[in-house]
Amino acid sequence: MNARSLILVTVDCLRADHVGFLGYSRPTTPFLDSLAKESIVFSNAIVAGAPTYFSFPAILASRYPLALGRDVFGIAPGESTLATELQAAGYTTGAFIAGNPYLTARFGYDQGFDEFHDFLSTVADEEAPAPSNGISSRLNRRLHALARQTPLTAAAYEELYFRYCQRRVARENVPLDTLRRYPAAHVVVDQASSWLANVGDRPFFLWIHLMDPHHPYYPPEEALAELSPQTTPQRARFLNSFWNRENVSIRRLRRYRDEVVSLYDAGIYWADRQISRLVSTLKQLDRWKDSVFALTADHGEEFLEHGTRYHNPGNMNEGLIRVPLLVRFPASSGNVHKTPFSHIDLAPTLLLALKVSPSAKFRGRPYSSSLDASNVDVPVTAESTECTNPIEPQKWLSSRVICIRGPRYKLTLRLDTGEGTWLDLDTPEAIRPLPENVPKTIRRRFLERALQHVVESRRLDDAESRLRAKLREIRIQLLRAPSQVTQHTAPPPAPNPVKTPQ
Amino acid sequence: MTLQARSIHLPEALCADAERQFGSRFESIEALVTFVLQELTRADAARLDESEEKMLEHRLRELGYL
Repeated sequence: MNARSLILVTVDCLRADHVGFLGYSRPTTPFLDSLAKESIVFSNAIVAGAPTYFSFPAILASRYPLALGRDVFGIAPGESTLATELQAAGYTTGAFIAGNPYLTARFGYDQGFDEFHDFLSTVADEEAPAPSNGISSRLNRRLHALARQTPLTAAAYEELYFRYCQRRVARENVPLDTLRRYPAAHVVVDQASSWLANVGDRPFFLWIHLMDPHHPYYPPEEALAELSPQTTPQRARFLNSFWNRENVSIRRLRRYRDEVVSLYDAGIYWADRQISRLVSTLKQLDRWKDSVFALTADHGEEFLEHGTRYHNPGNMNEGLIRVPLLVRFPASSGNVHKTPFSHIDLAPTLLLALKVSPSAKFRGRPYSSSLDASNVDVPVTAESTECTNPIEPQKWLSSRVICIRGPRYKLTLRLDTGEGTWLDLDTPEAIRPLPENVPKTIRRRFLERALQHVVESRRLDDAESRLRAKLREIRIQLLRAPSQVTQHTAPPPAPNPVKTPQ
Repeated sequence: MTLQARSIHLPEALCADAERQFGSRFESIEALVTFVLQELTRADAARLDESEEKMLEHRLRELGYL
């Protein structure tokens, strides 16, 4: 039998409860819904970290995000991943990443890939215009400075300025495509399809990362027409601008929530359409029947369920940590796995399906249906810190947030304050706190699990990976910011050095 | 008080390469190596891990579980 190939599609910001095969009422994923019938659907798939830079070490390297230290991001040089393992096993490997700056060679994600395209050169410029020194801009800055003297005048200024900007841009007829910050799915799938056409008969590993549901929410107009036909491009632009405002009340944001969600759903719809096109290409190349196909997301997205938007680090709400996951094995029938499944276990599961032994460094275990019954009550763990940008070293050393997520109960702990939130997931929106009559054994087990995770998460055998990752980071810093390092100087040589090396 | 120092030997070609790449940022190879070792031996992240572990142990003890 020919070696099986692997296609891994990850979709940024894709919520589990916004795909049809997990119960969403809108037609966002018609193709994936049909594929789910012949796949194993993990209805309780939980990320090991969120957002993207905390999630992907688990997906690709079966490692918790803080295992190498909270001052290390990405994949360490030489670290075992799905790509390196498969490349070593003779696979041709290709990755097509839709312009996410955290999934780049800078963070080690190119390791193990023969072809790696991050589309960063095609990312659109920032929407905000460059600052100008014209008369109106100077006047504006002066007004802004004056307005900031009281909260009331600051709020009034901000509101008036927002309305003024919206009136100006409403006159512009800018296509949505130019406002998008990331290449849409069809661009990525086109490139991946060209690569597939040249793979020949060799087994391959293809990783595609799509950004269509990611904010700002500018889906292709074709998708908008399908999911939100009443939304014009101008309206989409206004909605994104308003949704992105700071210092606006939740009450005011809620007025636009449903329309913003429609934009988000249209992005999902477009991704689904392009995934369908990718599978059609695989069928035309006669590579589908022998391929394992997996789809998941790095995290979800929030739309005010808990008063928050987007996908901020340190946030372990269900809308963020529960993601879709389906795995289609060749010639298999559909099934649903309901117990919590961690992304830590995804890479070992996929490698076993390809009959490639997972690296001994992987922390996770391969999924087996025989484990399903015995693992009914085993919670999974997710962690992150409150680092908002791994590119900025001054943001690295922030406190850890850990989530122990069982099939019914969930504990989220902030490890700086010790503040814990217990939730009963059987209630709608999973917002109601844990009832007092829940046995102490549950509380104890979850806390013990949290302690075990913190104690075990950094193993001695990770020391070399940590060292390599730190050296990479130092090199990047040295090449980027000379002003940051001039304070570090060598001690003056002692007249009689105390020690010499043996 | 004199700062204690240790002498080490490094390949000349390696030092020349490092000076070429980073010479404008450091007054000497010693300064560069000192900087790298300082960065590698920083214990802030490990200290945070330890304090979190202690916090969890304390919480379990408070609840009578440890």
